[in-house]
Amino acid sequence: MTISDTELEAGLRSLRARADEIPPPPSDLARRTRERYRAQRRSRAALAAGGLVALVVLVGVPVAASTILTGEGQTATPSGHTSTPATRTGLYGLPTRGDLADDEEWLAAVTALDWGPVDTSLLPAGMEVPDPSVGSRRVAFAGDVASGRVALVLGMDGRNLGFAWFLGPEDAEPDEMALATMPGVVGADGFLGLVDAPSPDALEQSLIVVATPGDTMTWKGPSIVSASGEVDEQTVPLDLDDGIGTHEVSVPFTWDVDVRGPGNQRRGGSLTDSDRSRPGGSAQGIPADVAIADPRGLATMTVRDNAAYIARSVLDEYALGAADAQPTLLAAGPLGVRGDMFGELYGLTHLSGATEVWLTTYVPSRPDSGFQISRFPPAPVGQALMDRVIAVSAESCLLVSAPEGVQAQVLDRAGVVLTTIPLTQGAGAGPMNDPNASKVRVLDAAGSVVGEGPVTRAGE
Amino acid sequence: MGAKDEAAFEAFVAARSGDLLRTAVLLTRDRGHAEDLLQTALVKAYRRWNRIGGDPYPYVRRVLVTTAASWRRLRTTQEIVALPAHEYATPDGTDVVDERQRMTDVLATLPPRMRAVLVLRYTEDLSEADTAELLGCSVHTVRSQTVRGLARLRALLGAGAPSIVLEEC
Repeated sequence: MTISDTELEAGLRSLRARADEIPPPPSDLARRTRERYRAQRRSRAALAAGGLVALVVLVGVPVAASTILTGEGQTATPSGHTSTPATRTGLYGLPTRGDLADDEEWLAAVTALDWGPVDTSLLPAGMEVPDPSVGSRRVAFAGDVASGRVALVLGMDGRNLGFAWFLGPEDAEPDEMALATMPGVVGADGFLGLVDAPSPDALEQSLIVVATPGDTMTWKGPSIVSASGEVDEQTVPLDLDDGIGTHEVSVPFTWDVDVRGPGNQRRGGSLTDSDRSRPGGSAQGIPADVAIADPRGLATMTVRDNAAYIARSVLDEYALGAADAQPTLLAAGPLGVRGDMFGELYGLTHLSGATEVWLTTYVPSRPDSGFQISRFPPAPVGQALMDRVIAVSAESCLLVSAPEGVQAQVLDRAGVVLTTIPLTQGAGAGPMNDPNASKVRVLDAAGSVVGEGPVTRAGE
Repeated sequence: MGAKDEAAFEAFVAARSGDLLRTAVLLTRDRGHAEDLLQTALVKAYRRWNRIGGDPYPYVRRVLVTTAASWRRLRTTQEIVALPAHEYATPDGTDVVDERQRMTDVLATLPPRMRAVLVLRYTEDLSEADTAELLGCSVHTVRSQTVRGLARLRALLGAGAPSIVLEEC
C-alpha cells in the first residue's frame, strides 16, 4: 500500500508532539553558554596572538579546468609556470593509496587511459592541457567513494606535474573510467582534491582530498552574514587518514579547504569539481552559468564565463542561490596607466540585507595568467547594493560604482581634489595613483553632490 | 555585554530554549547532540547579542538550523556510530508511539538539509518562503527537497525497518 503525502505530512507533524515530551533544557543553560563563549574567546585570542588570523583573502583562479587553487605561493597555471620536481617529490613521490593500491593490473591500465579528448575550441587562447607520457604516469589514489570509483593519476608533462581525475561506477573496470574534468597542473608539494556527485542536483557531494601523510585539513562551511555585516564562519576539522580524506559534504560546497603540512604551513593545491556534478552540466572545465545582473550594460566588456565561475564560488561560500543574492556587475574598466590590466567590480546582497563586493583583476592578453579576486568585508544593511558609493583602488586605478552621477572627484583627507573620474550611469574607472586618496565625491551633471564614499584598496 | 543585555539574554534562554531544543532534537535525533547544537547556536547569538535587532528567536533558530545542516554532516562514521544511546522511550506497543518512532528513525536517515526542510515545513509549520529564507536557499530548492524528502520517507517506511545511512564516502 502506498503511503500518501498527506499521511506522511501528518506523521511528520506528529513528531512535534513527541518532541514536546522531552525534558526541558538545563536550568543553567545561560550560564553554561556564557562560559563556553568565554572559553572560545580565550582560544581565539590565543590564535590571534599566534598570527593566524587572515584578514584579506586573495585567491588565484585559473581560467580553465574549473579549478580553484588554494594557499599562497602555489599559483599553478595551466601552462608553463609550475616548479619542477627535481625528483619524485610530494604526491608524485608517494606510493599509491586507496582501496585499489595493491591492484597492480588495474592501476597499470588506468595510467594508460587517455587524458583527452579535450575540446580545445572551448579553451581560451594560450591555454594548454597537460598530457604526460604514459611512462611518466603513476596513480596517486584509487578507491571507491560514495559517488563511485575514483582514481587520481599524476604525470610529468615537460617541467610540469600534471594530474587527471578519473571517475567510474562502483567497482568499475579501468575501461569504464573516464576523465572527471579537464586535467590540470599542480605544484610539487601541493595537495589535490576532487568534488564529485552523480548529478548536479545531488544533495551531497563527495570530497576526495589526496595530501601528504601527516597533513591536517579543515573545511569552512557555509558562512552567514548578519544584517550588521558580521560573517559567522564555521570551521570544521576533517579527517585525513594517511593523507587521504573522503567525506560527504552538503551542497553547495564552499570550496574553502585548508590543508596544512609540517609546521602548520598551509599547502597550496587544487580543488576541482567534476563535470557531472557541476550545475548546468558544463563540460571539460568550462564554468556553469550564473545569472549576473548587468543594470549598466557593462557585460560586453567582461569575460562572462570567468565572472560566472567566480560568482558561483562566492555564492557557494555562503550557500546562496543566484536568485536570492542577485550578483550584479557594478563597474568595469582598464586598470593602470599601461592599460594592461582589467578590473571588474561585482556585488551581491545577502539574505540579511547586508551587501558585499569583490574585484576581479586580470590581464586580457594573458589568459593563462589567471585571475586575482579581492574580497571586501560585507557592508551592513542600510543601502542597497546599487545605492552604495563604492570606490576600489587597484593597480594605479580606481573603480567607482554609485547610484547615479557623471563624475567622481577623488579627494585626500583634507578634501583636496586629486583627480576626477568620469562616470556613466554611476560607474567608471580611471587612473589614480595617489596614496593619499581617501574618499570619492560623486557629482551629477549640474555639479551637485549626489553621494560620497571611502576609497578602499584591494589587498588591504 | 552590559547588565541589561545579560538580563535580556537570560530571559530569552529561559523563555525560548525549550522550543529551540525541541527543534534541535528533531534535527539531530539525539538529545545530547541537540543540547550541544543548541548551546552552539546560543554562543553565536550571545557573541552578537547587542546587535540582534527585534526578536532574537528567528536569528537563533536560523543559526541552529544552518549549523545542524552543515556541521552535523561532517561527522565521521566513527563518531556517528559512537553516539550515545537514544534517550527516547522504547516503543510501548501502541500504534501511535510506534509510528512516531518509525518516522523519527527514517527521518534521521535523510541528508541534513533535506531533514531540515521537512522539520521546518511540518513540525515548525513554516511556509516554503520562510523555510527558504531560514536555510538561505531558494523556494524552488525547498520545494524540490520537500518532494524528494517525502518520496524517500515513503520508500523507507514502505520498506519496513529503515537502515541508517552512514555519513561517509
